[in-house]
Amino acid sequence: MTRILLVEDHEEIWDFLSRRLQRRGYEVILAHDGQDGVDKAKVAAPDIVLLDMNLPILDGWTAARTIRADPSIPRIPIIALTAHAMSGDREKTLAAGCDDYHAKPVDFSRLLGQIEALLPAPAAEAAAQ
Amino acid sequence: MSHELRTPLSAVIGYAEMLEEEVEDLGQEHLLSDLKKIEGNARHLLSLINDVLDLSKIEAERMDIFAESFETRTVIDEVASTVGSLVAKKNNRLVVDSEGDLGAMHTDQVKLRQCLINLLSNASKFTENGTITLRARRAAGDGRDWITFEVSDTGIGMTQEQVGRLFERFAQADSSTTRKFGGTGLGLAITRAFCRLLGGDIGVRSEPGEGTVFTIRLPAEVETPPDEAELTAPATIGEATPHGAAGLVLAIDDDPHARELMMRFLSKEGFAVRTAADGLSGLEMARMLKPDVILLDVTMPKMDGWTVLTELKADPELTDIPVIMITIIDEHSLGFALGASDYLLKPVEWTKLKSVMTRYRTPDNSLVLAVDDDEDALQRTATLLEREGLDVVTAVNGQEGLERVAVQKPGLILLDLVMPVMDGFGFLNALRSRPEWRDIPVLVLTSKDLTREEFERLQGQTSRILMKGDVDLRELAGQIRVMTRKTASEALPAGQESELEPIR
Repeated sequence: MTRILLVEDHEEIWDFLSRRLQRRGYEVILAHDGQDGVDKAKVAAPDIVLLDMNLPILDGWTAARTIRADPSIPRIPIIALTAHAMSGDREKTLAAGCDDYHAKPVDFSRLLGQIEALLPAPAAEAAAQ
Repeated sequence: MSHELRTPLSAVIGYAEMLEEEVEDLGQEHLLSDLKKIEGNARHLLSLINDVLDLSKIEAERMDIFAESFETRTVIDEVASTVGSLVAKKNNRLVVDSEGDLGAMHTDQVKLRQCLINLLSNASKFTENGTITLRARRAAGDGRDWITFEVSDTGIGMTQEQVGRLFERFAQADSSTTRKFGGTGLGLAITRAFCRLLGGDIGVRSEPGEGTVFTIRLPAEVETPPDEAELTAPATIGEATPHGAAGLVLAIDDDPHARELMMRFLSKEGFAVRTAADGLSGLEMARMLKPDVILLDVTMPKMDGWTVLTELKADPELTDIPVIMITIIDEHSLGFALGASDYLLKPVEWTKLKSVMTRYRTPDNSLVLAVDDDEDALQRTATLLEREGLDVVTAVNGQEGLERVAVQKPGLILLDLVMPVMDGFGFLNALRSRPEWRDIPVLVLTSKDLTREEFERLQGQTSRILMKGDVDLRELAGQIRVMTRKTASEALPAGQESELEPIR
């Protein structure tokens, strides 16, 4: 089963997002701040990370950079969740080491598409079943 | 700021969608239409909020242009794929038609995209079983390249009278239109404002029953008005001139290239640079900014450099500011007679300017004062700054901040606005009222949604206004280190000098 690490501090957002992802057959692990996200990326071996950018303790950009800089964490895809579409956001998140970005409000079917595009083929198929 | 408005709505939309899926699974389909109404209205409210925020930013002249280079064709393809499902909704067909090579553009891609999406979604709303065409071409005119985008539909069209009111706010052609066709009624007003912001404009021709054609014409390369941008654009990381620790320089020159080169050269040397394009605005800015040094050209429109120099020296508040003449006119003795401190001839020898500027450099000071009532945030900031090798003192309100400044003058202040006892505004007023503290650069780091008046007040008193949450604190700490450090290099690397050479 594909394991998604969702790093999001806003309770309602992580609540509905994780429930909707679970309904689609993904396993969801939650982290509520940037540092927590980095820690769980290390120990929970997720297949992909959904990373909010406005996070307490460590913001999303720093968390992404920290994950990328840590040799003990394998190269997993990261999708940045940004507050809203802003010029330069894309470049900023990509520069921090994210693979893709998704501007809130979450467009769920588009997000699913982005997740599957970044997962290795067999994992994407397994999740779809 | 706007984040606060969008997040709860995101949650409303998300839960509504989730419940829609769940009631479907539970076979409770009769609840579905009500849930869809909740979701639909939340989405509508969200687009209204986005549009209103955009418009208010435009009105407050706080809308920035983020120019980047991109292939025109790529944006067209992306926009076409974004609106694909929208176009198909009313059984319309989308045709994309570009003539010749469109080449690259250098402009604000997000705003261009939003304009095109606005027009295409408009077209799809008012057309059924028809064709929507997006045409683009590149052509030269007025000495530059223009890209023309044309969005035409085979829809219901409009009367002359309707066309006349089209770009007004909340003025869809008919008041019942909004209910029937949706939309915020702000899209076209925003589209036009964006087009004008990017140096172009939008036009429309239409006849009832004959469909509508919107035409956007934009310069392939957006021109950011340098003076205005420097004066009014809210500074963001990486784009704005840092308030250099070496001091604030005002460069007055009508030649945009000369301004640009001086800006780059002096910023690298650790100075903060503001520029003015003519004598009159230069004088106004000098009065407003009280810079540490003024660089002054002679031949300029409105008021020439000699007059500016005379006025500067006649003003008791400005007379002590050293003025360096930088001009092609060799009138050393006149310059010195009028009170100039130095006289350089164009083309500027940068090594010479550098050695002159060292005389006016403010000494190094790496002490940073961080003022914030959120002690956790304060501690994090302090740790990050200390990691950058800076000395940090902290204060939890403006009053305490002032006490710290009195003990030892910091090289830079990082300031929150909303605080008990004395807030950031009060702190700034008190700080700037003491002449010896006036030159301390202040970075405002706030989550407060600023009114235009507050924003303008802060602009005169601070180097940068940053939004908490928009800012990567670690990046900021690195930049603060650069801002408080006197440029260490004694000579510019050879490569940089040759890059700065071609000034005439």
